[in-house]
Amino acid sequence: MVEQVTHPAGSPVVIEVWSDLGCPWCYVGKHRLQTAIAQRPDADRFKIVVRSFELNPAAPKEPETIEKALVRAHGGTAAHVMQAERQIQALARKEGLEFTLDRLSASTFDLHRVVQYANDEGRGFEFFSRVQDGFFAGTLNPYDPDALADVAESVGLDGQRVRAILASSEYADRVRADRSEGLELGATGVPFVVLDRRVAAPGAQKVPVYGQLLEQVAGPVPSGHVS
Amino acid sequence: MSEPKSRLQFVAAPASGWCEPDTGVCHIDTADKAASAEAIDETDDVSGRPGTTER
Repeated sequence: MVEQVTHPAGSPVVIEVWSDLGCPWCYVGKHRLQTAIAQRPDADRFKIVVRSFELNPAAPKEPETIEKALVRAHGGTAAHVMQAERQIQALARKEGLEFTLDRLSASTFDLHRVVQYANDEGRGFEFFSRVQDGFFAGTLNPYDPDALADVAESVGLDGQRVRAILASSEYADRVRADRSEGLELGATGVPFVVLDRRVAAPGAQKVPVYGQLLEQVAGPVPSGHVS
Repeated sequence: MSEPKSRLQFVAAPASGWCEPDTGVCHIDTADKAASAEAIDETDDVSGRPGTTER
């Protein structure tokens, strides 16, 4: 475990999460991180900021089944790649998460451009999280501009603005810059969670590990709140 | 992967799973794979879905 670092008691703590929609571990890891934060009485100190990490910049624009996409991108048989998906599905469901295998895969670049806009409006995590949850539950097509606009409006963003962004190339440079920065910081696995720019955790960690990291950057749970 | 340019402290605990930044290939930790197999077995009792093996 990393050495103890301190952070002024009660002050805000920014947690940056480099993530991609197509990354199942980003979905699982996000819920674990949220659980760890929720276990602290000072949960409102923590602000999660989504950073874009497009895992497959060469992905086609046209959606295809994850089965077809995984075989094309990584080789192997359909049965093999779907077995791996079922492993993650089983773990996710065990943790109470919906996780359909009936998902579509395509370029996530445009979604990330909207995430950047949402970040500017202070709603990046809420927007991305809602898209992610709907995608893995099988209730949202994230490649449909109208669907993204609807999600945006549900978190207080301007749906028309989202449609305009999707019809343009706005925020493209920032999406690429986020990916580059994640790599420069040493992201060896996605999700890549960076707490207060002091501590980093590549991959989806377990809830207790995230809890320890929160304690290291934000201090122990305030004693007056321990139940 | 090149050396990180930051002064970040990296967690030592193994991740349950991760996707490789360069290839997008996703992996599951060995211990979690076993837990997954158990969960699948439990699911199979209900759905009859076949078990899984390494990706």
